[in-house]
Amino acid sequence: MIDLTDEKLMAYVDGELDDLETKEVREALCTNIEAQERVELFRESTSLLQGVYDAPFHEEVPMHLIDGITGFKNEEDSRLRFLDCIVSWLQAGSWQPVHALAFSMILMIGIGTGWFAAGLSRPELTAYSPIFQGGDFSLGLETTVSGMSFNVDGQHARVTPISTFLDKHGHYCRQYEVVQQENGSGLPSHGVACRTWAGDWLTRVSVVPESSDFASAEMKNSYIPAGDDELAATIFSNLMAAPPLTIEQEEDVIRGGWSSKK
Amino acid sequence: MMLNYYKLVVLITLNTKETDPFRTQMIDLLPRLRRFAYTLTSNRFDADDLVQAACERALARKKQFKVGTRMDSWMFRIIHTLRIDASRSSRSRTPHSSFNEEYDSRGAANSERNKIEAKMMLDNVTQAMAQLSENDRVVMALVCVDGMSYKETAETLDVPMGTVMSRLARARIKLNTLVHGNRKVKSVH
Repeated sequence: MIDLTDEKLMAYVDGELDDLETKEVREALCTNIEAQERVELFRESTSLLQGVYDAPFHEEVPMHLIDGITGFKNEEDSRLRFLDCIVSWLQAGSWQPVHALAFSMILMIGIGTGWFAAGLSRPELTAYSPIFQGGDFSLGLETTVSGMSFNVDGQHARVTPISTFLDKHGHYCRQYEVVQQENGSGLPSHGVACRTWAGDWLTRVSVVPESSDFASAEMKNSYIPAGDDELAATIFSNLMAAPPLTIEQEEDVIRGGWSSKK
Repeated sequence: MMLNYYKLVVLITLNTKETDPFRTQMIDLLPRLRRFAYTLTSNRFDADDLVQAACERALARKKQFKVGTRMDSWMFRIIHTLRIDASRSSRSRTPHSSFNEEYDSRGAANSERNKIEAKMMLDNVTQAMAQLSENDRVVMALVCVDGMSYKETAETLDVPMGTVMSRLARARIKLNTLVHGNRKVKSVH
């Protein structure tokens, strides 16, 4: 004899019983008026609730809910878009085969002093960023043709200029690759430095490979330019006003002391 | 050659960002999410606010969503959690406010008398639902309104199936008691 508990009767109403149990309950119900009323109660609760609450399912969804989903700006998405822009730009601007490692470069954009610093420079950037400027770095960029390397002793790094171009303000800028000799990771970072009227080279953008020893977890957290599509747009609109110089043009400019645009 | 290959990869990377199946799936779920939220709140405005908040939370925590799991369960759980949070801070509006016009306009209540009866039933049910616990409401919303099985409901709420069944039976009996009085409710066991 089946035990017609509330749970059993409810499961019968909701179609949760297997065929055998369903048959047993159905037969038991024939002679049990009280259980029949209970079944009716469970059925009615479902129809009551559906009658009251089902309407939103059949209506057109308010547009603001859809817009809220499609327009939602996720910090992670923004970071990826930013990465895409940087990687794409670095590759498009290079006249040399680009490292596969470019695809693992993420998260860190260090902004050099002056050019794009407004609202972007934070104390922690200078503490950790492999931003190069002045001294050996300036001298190396001033005198070394693309494809040749020079050392920046103070930072134990070997820098290789990749390409040279003009920004929209008429400043010469150079894309470069850096290998930190100290950590021995062998993973290069990339950057763009531009020449000031005074003849110093200041890094504007620095992109560091994710797995580099540069990138401690602490650094990653402090460097993420969350949601900075605008930053990317600013950088790209300000940089690279013209195609990279040819090797011959670059050599001429170096020989001329970068004076033509001064 | 090598450069061209990488440029191609970059292009593909950029292009694939245009469509986001995660968001598309979420938009497809909106009718169910709105109905679920409405069952919990009995208020159209609170329901849509709740859904919007849940979608934002889900999008912000997209990385927590495991591919291969059910997004509907995940979203229901987020709504339930937000609802509990909101009830703790007592920010929700009273049930059955001006949303009733929506219900009244549905074809079922086509005569004046039917409209009055429907309105009374609507008020009775929403008031009764307001007296249930949040845990009772959520199992009713998932099983009776959304049509989930007991097993799916148990997985969604991360509770044993027996708990779902006992809560559900108790909630339905209580709802009937509140809506109709005691005339229909006599314990079988």
